[in-house]
Amino acid sequence: MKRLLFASLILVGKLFADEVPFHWEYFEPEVDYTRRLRAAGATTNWEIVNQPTPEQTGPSLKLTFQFSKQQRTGVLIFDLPPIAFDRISFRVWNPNPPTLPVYLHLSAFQSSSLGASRESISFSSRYYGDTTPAPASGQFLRPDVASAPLPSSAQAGWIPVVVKFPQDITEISVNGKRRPPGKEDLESWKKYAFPTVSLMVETKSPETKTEPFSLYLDDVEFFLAK
Amino acid sequence: MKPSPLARNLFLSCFVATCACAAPPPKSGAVGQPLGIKALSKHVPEMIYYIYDWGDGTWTPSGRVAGDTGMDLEHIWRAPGEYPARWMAMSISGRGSEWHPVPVSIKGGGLAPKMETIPVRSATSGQKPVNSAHPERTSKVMGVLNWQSAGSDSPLVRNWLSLEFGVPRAVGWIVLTRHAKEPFPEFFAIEYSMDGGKRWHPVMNAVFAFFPDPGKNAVWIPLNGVMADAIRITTPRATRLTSGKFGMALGSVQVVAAPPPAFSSSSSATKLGLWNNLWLNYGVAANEVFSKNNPWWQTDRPLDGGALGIGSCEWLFWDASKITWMPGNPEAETLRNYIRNNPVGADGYAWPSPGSDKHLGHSRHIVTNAIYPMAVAQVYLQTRDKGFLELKDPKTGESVLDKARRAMDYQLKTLGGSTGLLTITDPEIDGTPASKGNNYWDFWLFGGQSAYDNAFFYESLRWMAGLEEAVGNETRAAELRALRPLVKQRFNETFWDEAKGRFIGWIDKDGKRYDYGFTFVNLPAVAWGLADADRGKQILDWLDGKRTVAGDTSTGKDIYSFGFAPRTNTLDADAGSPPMVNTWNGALKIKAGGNAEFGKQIQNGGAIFYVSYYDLMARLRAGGIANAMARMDGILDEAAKDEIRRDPANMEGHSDIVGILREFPESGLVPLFFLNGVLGLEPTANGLRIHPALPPGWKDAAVRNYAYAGNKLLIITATGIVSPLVSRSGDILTIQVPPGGDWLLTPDGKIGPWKESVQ
Repeated sequence: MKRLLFASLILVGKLFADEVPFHWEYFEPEVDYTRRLRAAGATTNWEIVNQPTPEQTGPSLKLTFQFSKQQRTGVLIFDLPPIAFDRISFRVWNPNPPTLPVYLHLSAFQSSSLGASRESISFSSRYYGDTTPAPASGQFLRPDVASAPLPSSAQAGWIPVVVKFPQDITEISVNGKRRPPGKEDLESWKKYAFPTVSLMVETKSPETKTEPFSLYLDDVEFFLAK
Repeated sequence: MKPSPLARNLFLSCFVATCACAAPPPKSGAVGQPLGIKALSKHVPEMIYYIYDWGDGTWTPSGRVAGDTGMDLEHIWRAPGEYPARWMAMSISGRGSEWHPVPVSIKGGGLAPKMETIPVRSATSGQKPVNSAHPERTSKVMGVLNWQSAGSDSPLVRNWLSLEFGVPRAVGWIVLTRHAKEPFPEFFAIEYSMDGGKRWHPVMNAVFAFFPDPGKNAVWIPLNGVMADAIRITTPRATRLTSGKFGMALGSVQVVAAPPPAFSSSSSATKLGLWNNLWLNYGVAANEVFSKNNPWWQTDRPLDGGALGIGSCEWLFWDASKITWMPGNPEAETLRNYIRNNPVGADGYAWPSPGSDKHLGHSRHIVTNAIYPMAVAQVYLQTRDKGFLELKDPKTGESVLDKARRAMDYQLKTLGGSTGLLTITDPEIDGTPASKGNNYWDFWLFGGQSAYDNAFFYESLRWMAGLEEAVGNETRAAELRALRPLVKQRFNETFWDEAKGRFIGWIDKDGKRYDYGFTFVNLPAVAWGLADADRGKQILDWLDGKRTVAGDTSTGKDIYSFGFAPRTNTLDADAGSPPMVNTWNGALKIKAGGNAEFGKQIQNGGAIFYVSYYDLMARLRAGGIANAMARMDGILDEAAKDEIRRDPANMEGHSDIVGILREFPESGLVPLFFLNGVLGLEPTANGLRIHPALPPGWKDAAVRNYAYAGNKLLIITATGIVSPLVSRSGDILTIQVPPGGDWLLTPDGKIGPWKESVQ
């Protein structure tokens, strides 16, 4: 356990040698997350827990989901003071066996009331582990096109996830209309600030309601290169 | 090679110090006089805060605002001279603007106000790793000059330095300087405690990221009079120190006192501290984040908090109640403009918003015809400013007074109020399942004959009668007053449910009655005198769980399960068929598991804080001051936990379970119970009524800086005062009255017994 802790500190130290995340969610018990988090869809519960795994010594966020044929997306919404970013990193612990495939990606939403743009725009990143190009016009983001589900932490341990913007954007929705990103969308990324970022956890359409299952989330960090 | 911490901060300062801006001509001011400097930076889209360098060795940072929003801060220079003032903006992601020079020329002749430092009884430092279950470590600090925390290998350590006063004090500023050798904290926030450090609360406008190196400047952070018995500076992320380790370091920390707070009593310093902070947060909203730098506009999660007011008609009376008693408040002018500009149509219907005769483009709100004259009357009777009544609508040229009169006539004639009962005949709001909502509580299909609207009608008759009498129209005043007994009679005949022992919500055009246990109907009705003693007691007994209404969803202690207010309704919206609610085209789902199920929606089993004001006033009237104060104590207990800064979300992603923050400036009515309940202050036709009711165990109560008829008052009631007395010292008129009496202070400053006949 000490070796893993030391290794994680080395990893953290390496991150800080390069840059400092300007916004973070480490799920500390002292912070009131009821004012910063919302859940919807197949997400049935969230709570701050200590020591979710033998290797974890600090608090993390335990998310519980229950998918059904009608509801195959669990959503965790981070409410933010509108911020600009170009990278979000976090860690996920997936205690579920490979027989329960889970896919996750991020969506960043800009409200139409913000100054940068009067439209409601969301940018969705590719699924974790998906290295395919952005889908063609008319082919929307869904788990079927992702290359692989989230690995099980029984083999992979804590899974680091890094999402870069705009490079990892594969879908844009403007006032509800979805399309692949265009060149101008990606070039104008830095003019946007986002009041919400959502973690979307999905599965391929189950025929019946799944048993409740959980994921653990920690070290959510937002970066912006100067 | 990693840069040293000082070098890093200097680098940051250099980065933001690059300036290609030509200095404008100097602004002129005088010693001791506040001078404002406007700043506007649109250099980034995300949230920013401004830093003002006043050129006199002091800096002041602002709260956070949206990236395209300006700032206007004032400063008082303490000596004559030429000062190289300047400002910059820093984004919360660390992108700083240039420094913009604004030179200032200060002439002598005035005196700067004295500053009192709050003595610190003890100091404590603490550390806790951020991402760990390790407990915090604290230690006593013997001196705060050139203090630094223990270093840690990781920046992921929360450090803090707290200063304990021993007793609650009103805090004006906290002043920080850089350590002689170590860098200034880059990320820090100010928090306060009212229980010696057991619980800490954020000062929402005192949270800073990527703070630049202030050098030798002292950083003055405004705290606007927050009541605290301890203050702490906390860094959520440690700064790299010269040793290479991470920690926090400060050269000095000074806490400057604010003037004493508005509400005072010798009864309990902690209780009054919490009470004053409720006013600070939800009344004047002095330390809240306003993303548009405008206290009339809401800020979204997670920075939502208290607000000053909303300019739509539905809120104007509440806005006036909050603002008009504060002397010199610049927002009084904004309020006057909202009232002046609010349209009253040719038919006398008072529009709910300046741009539309329908609220949010959805439906007409008939209650605005009561609210508009109430707001006009409140402002005039409090200020006695005839110029306000003569303000002209910019579109029609009609005066505010005439618009109030026509709105009143709309109630009396168009809505049938002269018969003693308002009836809404608009087919869109007839109270049937096909109806639309027609008031603040627009989830519910109030319409037809609405108890909510009729209660407001009854109260508006009182206010408008007072206004008419005050301007010399005594005949009209008498007519309005004479109608009140009939309105009260018909209200009770029409809306009282003898079996349930409470007032129902409304009766639709077909005569069907609807009751869902509406606390927001019953409590104002009791507070405004519509319930006699027996019915008032029945209502309080229902809410206090002393009796159960058969069929209700929430009974007993569950009615107050939120703690800060009763549930909106005690019978689930899903109990009736068809449900008498507006689901906004199916967006709101009231069935179990839906996003608006009972207890998960502000208007269905949730709670809205402002209702507590009417709860307190109702208890005062129907149960006595001890009853009301017991409820207030419960509210203060909730405030002690977390300032009632609550905005939870249900599992449908909606954060509409409770209504306290964001678009609920009426939350600020609750602390006004000190003025309107405990001190019994009420502006009336012939003067300010003062009808104190000291809670059990209280020997005195006082309000400072109470604006009335152009005067600034200090009003005191105390057990040792045997007869009323008015005295003047400078610009303060001091009014002393015995508790338990009923007095009238005339606009020209004479005090005598309140006479029932002139009401």
